[in-house]
Order: sequence, then structure tokens, then C-alpha cells
Amino acid sequence: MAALLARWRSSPWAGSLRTAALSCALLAILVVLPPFLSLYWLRLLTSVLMLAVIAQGMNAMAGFVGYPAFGNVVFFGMGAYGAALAMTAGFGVAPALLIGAVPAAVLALAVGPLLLRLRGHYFAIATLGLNEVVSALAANLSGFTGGAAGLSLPLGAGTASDAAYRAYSGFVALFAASLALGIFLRDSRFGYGCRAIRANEEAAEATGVATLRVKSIAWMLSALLTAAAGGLYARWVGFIEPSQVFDMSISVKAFVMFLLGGAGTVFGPLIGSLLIESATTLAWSHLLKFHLLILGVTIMLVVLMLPDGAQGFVARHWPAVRAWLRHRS
Amino acid sequence: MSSSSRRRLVAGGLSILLALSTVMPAAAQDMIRFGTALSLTGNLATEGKLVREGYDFFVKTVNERGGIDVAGKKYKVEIVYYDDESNVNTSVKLYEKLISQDKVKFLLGPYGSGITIAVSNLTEQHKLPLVIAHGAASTIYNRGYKYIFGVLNSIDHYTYNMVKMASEQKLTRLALLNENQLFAQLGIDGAARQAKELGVEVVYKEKYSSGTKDLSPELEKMKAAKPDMIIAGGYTNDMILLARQISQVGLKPKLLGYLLGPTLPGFVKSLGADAELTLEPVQWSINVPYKDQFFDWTARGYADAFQKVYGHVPDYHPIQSTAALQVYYNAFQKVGGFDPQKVRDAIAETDIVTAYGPIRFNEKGQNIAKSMSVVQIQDGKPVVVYPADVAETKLKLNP
Repeated sequence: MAALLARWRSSPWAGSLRTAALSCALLAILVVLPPFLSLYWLRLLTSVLMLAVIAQGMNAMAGFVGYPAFGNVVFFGMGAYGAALAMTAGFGVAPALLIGAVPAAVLALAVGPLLLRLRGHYFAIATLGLNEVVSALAANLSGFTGGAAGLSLPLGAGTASDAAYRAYSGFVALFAASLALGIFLRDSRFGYGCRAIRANEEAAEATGVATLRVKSIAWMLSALLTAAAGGLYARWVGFIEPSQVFDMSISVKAFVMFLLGGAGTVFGPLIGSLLIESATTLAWSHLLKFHLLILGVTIMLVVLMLPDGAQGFVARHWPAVRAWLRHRS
Repeated sequence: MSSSSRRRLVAGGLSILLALSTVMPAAAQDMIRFGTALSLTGNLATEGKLVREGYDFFVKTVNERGGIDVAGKKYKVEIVYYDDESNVNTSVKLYEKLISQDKVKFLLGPYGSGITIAVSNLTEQHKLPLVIAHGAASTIYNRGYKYIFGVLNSIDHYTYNMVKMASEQKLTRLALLNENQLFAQLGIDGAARQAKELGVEVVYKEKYSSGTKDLSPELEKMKAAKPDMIIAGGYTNDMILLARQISQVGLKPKLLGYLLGPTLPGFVKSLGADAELTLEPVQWSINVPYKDQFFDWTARGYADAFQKVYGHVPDYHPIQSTAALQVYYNAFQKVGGFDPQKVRDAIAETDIVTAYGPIRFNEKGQNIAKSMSVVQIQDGKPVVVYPADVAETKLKLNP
């Protein structure tokens, strides 16, 4: 019996199950929470979840595979526009989200094999270029996207709280999907491939990882998630314009968040998004002029002092903390 | 840190907290609160500051007179401000905070048309009135909403008088350029429509992307089209760049108009001679002949009183803010109370004259009682040149 338990503990799936159980507990809390929140706090929480999803999309590429996809906001914008256009044409929410997300995934798969031959800064800059191109298209195809005038969605039925709950439940579902993606990238064979690429791409290639294919698929998954978030955002706010949904600061925020929370971890993006959004809401409203400065400094500090983020920091120091607690008691 | 120094720190912190709490004023009993989120920082901060001054000026004026008189009782006025960083998502979040956290029932619009559209989705769902002082896009009002009211002329009417003036001056070749952004796009599209209607040929029409640092390629092409009048649209900083580069590339149109810019503080100062004879359609000018029915001032009287407080002559931004609050002021008195639904109905019936101009809403919530005047910079000063009934002086053409 004991031997069986030990073998189970050491199998990789035990970790997955544990994380899945933790995820379910977290989701259960998110499901029962709304009645206790005012619409304002509900909106903040919705915002936190949305950013956590976008940060997970960034994490999938930058954290797990080691490719800084700075221009990932392009998928957010595509998802927002695709879904908004579909909804104005009378599609329901789920098909509209698909109509937004599929082209984004296809784009990632199409340009992935080209851009993913670049590394580091070069890849980051190429993705920025991609965002500029698509954003310019959205701004200039005025007949189709409304151009700079933006796109206004029909107001959903019901009261303000109906709308708030609709948006919240959509993002909770998407957040669940983002956790599943995190677990998949951490524990699956595919995920090992990703991490092998991050550690040493040549070595991964030499040991038989089809690097280009793995990278492209990872980016496609990242695009799907990010685009779905864009689609839900469009429905939530009810008005989108190119400057708003292709805004680079969304990518920057997502980058800070997953770094801060813990790159290449399942819950890192949520932790980062919680930390940054609380900081923004509580403190930054008084420090607005230094907003970007603070974000920049945070990136530098995290990279220098917390290379494995908040989650890694806690994990690293947990044995010491436990020993200290035991010593005290 | 030694424990005594830590204790001292805690004690110091506590005493500061205590001091702060005694300074904070006790919540007044009879207070009407308005709420808005403005662009107080970010690239629209210049405009945001002017907007806020207009709101504050109303508050100051009313409170100095003892407050608003509603059903025989005086109420002081207060405005809850937040900074939206010119960001849509932040703005909607802050309006939700105003509504569900701060319990504000009377909302004032944000600055900028895109943000106003997003915010009005929220206020409409909450069934709370939103009086818009600075959202001019016609798209705001074309969605059949019942709770939005704009005191200003919408963008599609901005250039009407300017184009009409050009056609009266026998100018026939119009060039149009705008920032690829909601406000500028709708304004310049409006000008193209009016040109067609008034028989002026559009010889060049282009847009440039937001954040551009160089407009000379567009201007070279425009020059080749030989326009005798140019109308350009974008926010202030872009327009300053544009004005500089127009003279650098050697464009010399008979008339040069901007959707926005010349009357804003800083435009004339930073451009000097390049600002001379430029035109801007304005929602309001000091010379409009209206006398306020609530306060004992004319347009000029408002400007004088305003200047005493803020040290500069107001353009149309502040008085537009003040007018938005006057719409509420009037509605409160008509209703004799503060029920948001009744206040909304009273606002829909608004028929007042303010120093800003007459205000009466159509069923879309647009103010249909006033039109735009055209201002020209002459000898470094903005003067109204059109239409004739409010003009201070004659229009001058570039040689």
C-alpha cells in the first residue's frame, strides 16, 4: 500500500491532479462569490480574470516556450473584432467567439513557421510588427470594421447586473480553460517539448523534439485563448476601436503579470494579475503620471530579483518557512 | 530595527492618521453629488483640465450662493472626479465605481467620443441620466438610447459654417486631412458631405495614423493637389505639428481650418506666425449674444468671472461643462426632487437659455437649439468671423 502510494506520488499525473483539484476549488470560489460583491468589485474581478487569461496566453509562449510574444495583443484585437462583427451580424455569443478566435489561431499557424525562426528580441519585434499591420488593417478597412470610428455592439437585454453577471461568467469559463492550458503545458509530453525548447533549442531538436511544430502549436493555443478574451471583452464593453483593442500596453501589462506571478507556472498569471490590478486600483490612482515608469521598474526588479516570480519565490522559501514554523511551535 | 524605534514609527503613523481624520470634513447632510471620470493625465490632459475647470466653476458659483434651491431647500453641490487615463476600460470601471460604490445618481460624460459610447452603455443599463458636455460624435446619439443628453453640437455639424463660408468666398478646391480616429474622422467626413452639398470640390482627402511624428509625406501630396482651402482634424498636439509642417512644405491655402486647435491655450503661443489666420469652428465664443437665465451673466460676463478664478480666458470647453450642470440644475428645480427617472424626464423637456447658448434636445438627446460659430486667429487673438449675427470682425484670406 505504502509502496503504491509512493509510486503514485512520484508519477507526473499526481501533480496534474493536485493542480486540477486546486483549480476546481478556486473556480468554485469564483462561482459562489458574486452575490457578495457590489457591481464595482464584480467588474474589477472580471477585469482581473480577463487579464489573467491574456497573461496566460503570454505565459504559454514566453513563459513555457521562452519566446517573448510581445505583440500578442494582435490576437486580442482580432478576437474582439471578429466576435463584434459576428454579433452585429446576429450570431450568438459562442459562435461569435469562435468566429473571432479561429482566424487568430489560423494567423498564428500561418506566420508562426516564419516568425518563430527568429529568437529573442528579433522575435519580439517581429510580433510587434504583426500587431501594427493587423491594427492598421482594422483601422483602414472602414467599410468592414467601421475604421477609426469604431464598432458599437447592440446593448444586451436586461439590467446592469444581468450584463455584469453575463460578462463575469464568460470570463470565469475562459479562465478555467486558461488553467487547463497551463496544466497541459506544464505536465504533458507536449509541454516537456516546450520547456526543452526554452532550455536549449538545439539540444531539444537533437533529442527529437519537432521544435518548429511545437512552437507553432503553442503559439496557436496562445492565440486562441487571447482572441477568446478579446471577443468577451468586446461584448462586455460594447464598443471597440483599433487604438483600444490593439493597444500595446495590454501586452506590456500581460508580460509584467506573468513574470511577476511566475513564468512557466499554472497560477502565475492569476497571481500577477491580482497583484498588478490591486496595485493599480488601490495605489496607482494617485501616482498616475508614473504609471509606465512603475511598470518598467517592476519588470526590471522582477527579472533581477524574482526570476521565477511570486509563485516560485514562495515555493523556494517554503521549506525554510516551514522549518521556522516548526521550530517556533 | 529596534523595538523602541518600531514603536515610535507606529505611534508616528497613528498620530498622522488621527490628524488627517480630524481635517477631513464631516459629510454634509444636504449635498447633491455628481460624478465623472476625465482624462486628467495622458495625451488628453490639456482638454481634461479645461473640462474640469468648467465643472468646478459651476460648483464654486452655486455653493457661494448657498447652493441649489430645490423645493424650498438649499443643497450644496459636489463632484466626484476620477482619472480615466484616456483609457476606455478604465473609464467604464470608474463609472461603475461612481454608480455602485459611491452611489452617485447624476452623471456627467467623460471626455472623448469613443469613451462616451462605452460609458453610455453602462449608464443606459443602470437607467441613470448621463449629460454629455464633451462627446460630439454623432454615433453616440444614433443608438436609440433614452438616458443620454449632449449639450453640444455633434461633429457632423462642426464644419458646416466653415465650408459655407468658403463657398461664399468663391473657394472651390478643398483639401481634407484627419487623424484616423473617431472624432476627426466623423468631422472630416461631415466636411466632405457639406462640400458636395455646397458645390465645393474635394481635391484631396486622406487620413494619418494616431501618434504620427511626421506629416510631410501627406502634405507634399496635398500640395500637388493645389487646394485653396484646407480643413484638418485631430487633437491639439498633432495640429501643432501639422501647422508647422504646412508652412515648411510651402503650402499656402487661402484658408486653413482645424476641427480643433487654434483656440486652445498654447496653440498661438507655440506657433506664432504659423497660427495667424487659421480657423476653427467653435461651439461657443465670448461674443455669442446669449444672456443666462439662471446666473446674471452674458457670455462675456461668464468669461470675466471665470478668468478671475482660473487666470485665463475660457474657450468653449469650460462653459460647455458648466452648461451640462445647468441642465441638471434646471431639471432638479422642475422636478422639485432628485428621483433619477423624474430628473431624466425633466431633462428630456429642457428648454433653457444659458450663456453657452440655447439648449433643447431632440429625441436622440442632441442639442438642436444652437449652431457653430467660426473663429479666426487675427494678430494672435481669436475673433469670431462667421456667421454674420455673432461676427466681431471680417474674415481675412491669406494672400
